[in-house]
Amino acid sequence: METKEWALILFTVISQAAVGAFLLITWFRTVNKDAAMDAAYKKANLVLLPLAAIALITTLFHLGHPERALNALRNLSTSWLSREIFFAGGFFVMLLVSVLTEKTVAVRKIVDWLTVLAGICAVVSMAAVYDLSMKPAWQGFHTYVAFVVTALFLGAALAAGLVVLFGKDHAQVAPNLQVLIWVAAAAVVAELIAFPFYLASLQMGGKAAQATLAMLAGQYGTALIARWALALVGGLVPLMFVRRQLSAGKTATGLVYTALLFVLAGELVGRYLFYMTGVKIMIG
Amino acid sequence: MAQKGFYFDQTVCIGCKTCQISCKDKNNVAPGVLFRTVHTFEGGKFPKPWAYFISIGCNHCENPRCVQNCPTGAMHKRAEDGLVVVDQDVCIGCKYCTWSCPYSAPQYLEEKGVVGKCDGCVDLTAKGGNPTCVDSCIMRVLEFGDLAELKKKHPGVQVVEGMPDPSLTGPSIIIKAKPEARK
Amino acid sequence: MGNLIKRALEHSVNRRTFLGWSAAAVATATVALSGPESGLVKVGSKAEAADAASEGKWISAACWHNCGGRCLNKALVKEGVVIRQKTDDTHPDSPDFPQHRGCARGRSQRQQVLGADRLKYPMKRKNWAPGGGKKELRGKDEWVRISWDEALDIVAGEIKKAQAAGGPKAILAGRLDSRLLNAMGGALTTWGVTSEGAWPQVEAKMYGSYPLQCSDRFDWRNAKLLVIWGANPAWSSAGNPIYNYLQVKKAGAKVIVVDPYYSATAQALADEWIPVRPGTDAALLIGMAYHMIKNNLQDQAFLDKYCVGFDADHMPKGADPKESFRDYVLGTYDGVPKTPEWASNICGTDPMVIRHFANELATTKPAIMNSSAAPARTYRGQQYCQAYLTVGFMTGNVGVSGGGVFMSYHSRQSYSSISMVNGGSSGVPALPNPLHPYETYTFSKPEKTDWYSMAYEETYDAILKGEFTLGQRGKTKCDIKMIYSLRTDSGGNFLNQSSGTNKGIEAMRKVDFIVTSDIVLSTVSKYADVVLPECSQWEKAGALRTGNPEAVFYQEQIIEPLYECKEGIWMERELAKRLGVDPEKVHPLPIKQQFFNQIASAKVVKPDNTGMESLVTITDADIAEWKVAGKPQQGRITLKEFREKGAYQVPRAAGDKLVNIAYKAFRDDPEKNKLATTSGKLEIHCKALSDVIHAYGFTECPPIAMYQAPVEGFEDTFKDFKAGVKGEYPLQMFTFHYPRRSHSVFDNVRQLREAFPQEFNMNPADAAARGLTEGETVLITSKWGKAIRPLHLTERMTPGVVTMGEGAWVDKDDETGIDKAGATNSLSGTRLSGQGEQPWNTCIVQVGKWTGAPLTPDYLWKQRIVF
Ligand SMILES: Nc1nc2c(c(=O)[nH]1)N[C@H]1C(S)=C(S)[C@@H](COP(=O)(O)OP(=O)(O)OC[C@H]3O[C@@H](n4cnc5c(=O)[nH]c(N)nc54)[C@H](O)[C@@H]3O)O[C@H]1N2
Ligand SMILES: Nc1nc2c(c(=O)[nH]1)N[C@H]1C(S)=C(S)[C@@H](COP(=O)(O)OP(=O)(O)OC[C@H]3O[C@@H](n4cnc5c(=O)[nH]c(N)nc54)[C@H](O)[C@@H]3O)O[C@H]1N2
Ligand code: SF4
Ligand code: SF4
Ligand code: SF4
Ligand code: SF4
Ligand code: SF4
Ligand SMILES: [Mo]
Repeated sequence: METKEWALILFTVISQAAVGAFLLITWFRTVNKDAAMDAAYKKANLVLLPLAAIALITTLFHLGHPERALNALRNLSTSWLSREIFFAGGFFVMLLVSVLTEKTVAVRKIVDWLTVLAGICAVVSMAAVYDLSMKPAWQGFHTYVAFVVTALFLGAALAAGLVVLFGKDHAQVAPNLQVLIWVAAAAVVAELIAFPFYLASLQMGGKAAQATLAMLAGQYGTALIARWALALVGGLVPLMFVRRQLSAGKTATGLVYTALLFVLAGELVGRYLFYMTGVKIMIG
Repeated sequence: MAQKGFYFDQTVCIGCKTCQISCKDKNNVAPGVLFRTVHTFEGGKFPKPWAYFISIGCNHCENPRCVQNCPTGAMHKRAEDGLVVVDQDVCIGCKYCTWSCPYSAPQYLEEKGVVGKCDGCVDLTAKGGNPTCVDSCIMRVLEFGDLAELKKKHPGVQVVEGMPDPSLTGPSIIIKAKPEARK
Repeated sequence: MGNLIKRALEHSVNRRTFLGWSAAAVATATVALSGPESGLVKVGSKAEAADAASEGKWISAACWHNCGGRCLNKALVKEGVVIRQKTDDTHPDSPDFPQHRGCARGRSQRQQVLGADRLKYPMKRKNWAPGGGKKELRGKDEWVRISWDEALDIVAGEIKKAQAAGGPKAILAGRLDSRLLNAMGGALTTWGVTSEGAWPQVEAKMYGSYPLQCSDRFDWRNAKLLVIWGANPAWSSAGNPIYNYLQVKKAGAKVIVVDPYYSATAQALADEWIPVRPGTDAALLIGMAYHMIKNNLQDQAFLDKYCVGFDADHMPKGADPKESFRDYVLGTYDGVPKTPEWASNICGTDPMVIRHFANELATTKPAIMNSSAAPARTYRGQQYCQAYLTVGFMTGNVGVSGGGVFMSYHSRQSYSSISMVNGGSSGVPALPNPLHPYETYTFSKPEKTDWYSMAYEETYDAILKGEFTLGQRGKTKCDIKMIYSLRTDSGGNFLNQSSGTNKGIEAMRKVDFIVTSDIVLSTVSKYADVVLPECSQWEKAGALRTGNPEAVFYQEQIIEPLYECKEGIWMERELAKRLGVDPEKVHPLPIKQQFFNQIASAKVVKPDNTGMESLVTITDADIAEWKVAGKPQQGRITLKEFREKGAYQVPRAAGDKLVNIAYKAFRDDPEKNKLATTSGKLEIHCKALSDVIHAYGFTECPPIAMYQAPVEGFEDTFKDFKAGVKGEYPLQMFTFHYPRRSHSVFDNVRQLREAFPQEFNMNPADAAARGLTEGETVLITSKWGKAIRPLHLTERMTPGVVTMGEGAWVDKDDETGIDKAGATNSLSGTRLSGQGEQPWNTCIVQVGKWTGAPLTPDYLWKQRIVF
């Protein structure tokens, strides 16, 4: 296991969350024309922007030669890592442009959707990076699922947090929350379905895959349990409560924030597991 | 381009690790970093046990995943001899190549912040000489040269029990395998 | 962010200084190591620049340890910086004329010479005081750096004190004679075979020559069968021996390896592996003899004509006919027929395998048997040697082409016993030890009464109990006050390498004063009071070294002495001055002159094998350039060529005139060419052997090969052997020579630790019985000590037998008594046997769970750096 993986954990989780959140907010922004809410969405983007920046900066900590980081763009033709950096960078730049072009709405709308596009490409190339490694634990469909789930689950939770933070008018906020909670739920369920298939694929794999499985069952067993406890009990359950409250016409700001924290924790632990259980196929 | 490669006669390798150590000396790498590794495999049942070794560095593959994945192009395959080498002045130390090689050939060099790996002793071989490991071998079971010629000279296999599937990267290596090691 | 930028900077700095290690900052040295293990000070990009710079110079570098080989190693020096090493490329490589390629240890030499843990300054133990100070702190006390003057004054003073108290006998000089002490009336010394176990006297008395004659390697290729008995050249004769064996196999010989462990050699060469329990080979051989006799497979004509003692009709003069080997095997008088079943019950080898092996050996002609010394490094080890030679003689493979009953090991394994080139002599006149006017390694004259010295194995008891054995003169009292171990070369780490390290530590903590010279803080120095840093051979003028009979190596100075390191002979000369002894008598010649003398007197065989001639041509110009005394001479090669090549290797080709066949003259005409035995023949019944073994005063030895259960052998693993009830120490442990080290030397080199982990090897069945699993740290206990090590499970081990490489650096915790390095002598006891050989391979242990913290890989351990 290489050192300094924490940088990658933060980078992938934060940037995926930012992409997910921005996508959802952009969606609201296109359907919801209310001026007050638009201000809230705008504020939300002002939070996502620095998040995207932080994500990019953390990657530097993973490098042996951070000062040469830009070299990473030299091999777009064949390297998914180059593409990942390109699109992650692109997402940030477009987001910046979108913020700067707030005034000129027509332009901003296009920019926003291009930003979303860049974000999606970033998430997909991130997954591709690991898919093309020589660690069975990282290869195949599951990495794509896991990364998209993070984007939507944590992204939705994040968006929810931002919407309740900046949205003044409860009547306007509630429907957004309803949507976000459904998206989050859908995401977790998707992962719940995908995970057994992942384990099965490891089961059927070679020595390295078996080793990963053994680690998940053994030394990282507790982490695995924690990951799901945090996501379901800490994340999903409160969100479901929020839904109840909302339909009962009450607010649940506190619960939303708690859920956000737990979902974040869950995804971080999940990603930690992802890195720790990656085993190379060459003996020794 | 004449692709260079290695031949390894496993049948009489004694696992003395002189190749591994002479490589470390040549490349000045710290404990924990191996550009060539001698792996030991054992099995059978007393009184009929078996044992064999695999001495392996970089296989300068036909489809080097390390090169394909390297974001900077620091890891590149030389046109003239097909050797896969790292430009340590371009490498950013992202370690992606270490995840991309089925043979664990690229190794992260903590002190330098970049990756290093078996470069086929290009400084020697480009001048027509042999790699250090080859000329250090006690049993004379390592050879280096034009892959095509090595293949002609030594019928052998590209993989033995304990090594990854050669179809992944097309390693430029030919092994004369012990019976127990055959896949 | 701040630390990010810092890291970025660090890296660019590192990149520049990584290779930049230099000794320039220390003492007068101007050389550097470019390497991760160097402890030397970084001086920017010096080395990297050097590497990039000019071609540099390859200098032939010493590899000077007791390693079982001798090879050509060279160091690339650019602008005073050692850049890397290489090996023999002085001529094209071929099986007939192979290069002398260095092994993993030799290729790590610069990591040792320029390691961070090199001794740098004279030092003394903090709590040492005249009389000893807190003696119990030896081995764990702090070290204090002192000046050379203070160090030499202390040592000279202590020598005076000890000699005043008890004369020369009060100082133990250990293995290595001290010329200084010899000039002062001598010192107590120890004798007794380490390497060859019980072989020397058996060879001398049964075969009439020690060392045994062996045929030239080209003649080995005529063998149809090669039996490698208790030898593992792949590991313990590094260099060409295993490669020579490969040529024997390629020439068509079947290869059989007899060993408790399916060794690297067996793995590479064996068509058949015959497992045997350590210390029981004699039983196996006697069982084979039984099968041969019963089926009349022995070469009776050969036995009748060339041997005495096989059967009642061919007994040596004066011997009781009832004592014939044949009758012993058949059980004519003791009623015990030594059947393969009888043997199997002891040695563990399947009776059918024993029969099959006996058939194969008796009927394949010609066949070569080669034994090493491991099976003879056992209690009563001579019984193995007797049985091995006897069975060998029964096959008649003596003095014939492609045949042989050999004992060759170490750097000469697989080679002729006749040197074709030699290193000459340093010209330093002998200065014998008045207390022991004989050679010490294989002390062969126990019947004499003019020696006062002890068996190596008895040293610690002599110190602790104050008495030791003087052969048939019985016990004598002694009062050892001081241990003096100044060395001028590799060897003499007795505390680590002799049996009974724990008793040894006790003994070391009893005497008043201990001084050693060393290059690193090896075990014997760790437990000393004063340690003097010696120059490594890379820091000395040079020397010629030989190993196998076909080459001689020219090893010259690579670097200036590091730090305050000095030559051993300088130390003794300085001490001599302080002791009123003439330094010129102690060490008359500087190393440069000794080196030159060796070169001048080096001889090489004439191509037509009609004797030797001078190797090197020396001109007046050479003598002037070297600033030495000498005369010009005509030789085969110029000094310049010798120096540039770094070696001279006798050209060989199949069918050349240098092929010799051992004992051929005797075979051709036994009357004209009698052997130097009592009877002039091969003595299967050998009274001279029983007599000499008796003279040592330890154990008795029957005149013929018999199997008698050794102390700490297989039988001793039982509480009740007959009933098959196992005892407290149910496992047999033997200890092999491991590629990671030359005995204890190189054990500190981390890249070798990484390559060769110090594992404890065991058969999975024995582990299962104890609930032990691969990789876990286990506790190994014996009557003599405790050690912990990671466990390696392998089917290559004979069940009931365990093993570990000898030579790890003792790392003992006084509180628990546990050695975590896995130094095998922490588990072995001191036992007196035969000719005072050390019976390392008969040792019994128990293995169990370790409940403490598991061990980390030892290449990650802190280096033993004093200053
Ligand atoms: N259990 C067990 N023990 C064994 C064996 C075994 O099979 N099993 N084998 C035995 C055999 S065969 C032998 S020959 C002995 C060897 O026993 P020793 O000769 O005692 O062991 P070495 O490790 O060779 O000793 C080398 C010593 O010299 C020092 N040294 C090296 N170079 C120099 C130098 O240039 N100058 C100075 N001053 N010091 C130097 C090293 O630091 C070390 O202290 O071991 C024996 N011990
Ligand atoms: N790498 C390395 N090589 C060395 C040395 C070293 O320290 N390290 N030391 C050198 C020196 S000084 C010496 S004396 C030689 C020693 O040379 P050897 O005595 O030949 O070497 P060992 O490894 O002790 O034993 C050789 C083989 O004998 C087997 N053996 C052990 N006990 C028995 C037994 O009772 N019966 C039988 N049949 N086989 C047995 C072992 O499993 C091993 O495979 O090595 C020399 N070479
Ligand atoms: S040097 Fe040769 S014999 Fe020794 S381990 Fe390497 S490949 Fe095998
Ligand atoms: S062995 Fe690994 S590092 Fe070498 S070329 Fe193939 S993939 Fe790349
Ligand atoms: S570590 Fe260097 S060589 Fe490897 S992939 Fe990254 S940039 Fe390329
Ligand atoms: S070719 Fe050179 S770098 Fe590669 S393994 Fe051999 S010695 Fe090492
Ligand atoms: S066999 Fe001995 S002399 Fe040769 S390289 Fe190895 S350690 Fe040095
Ligand atoms: Mo030895």
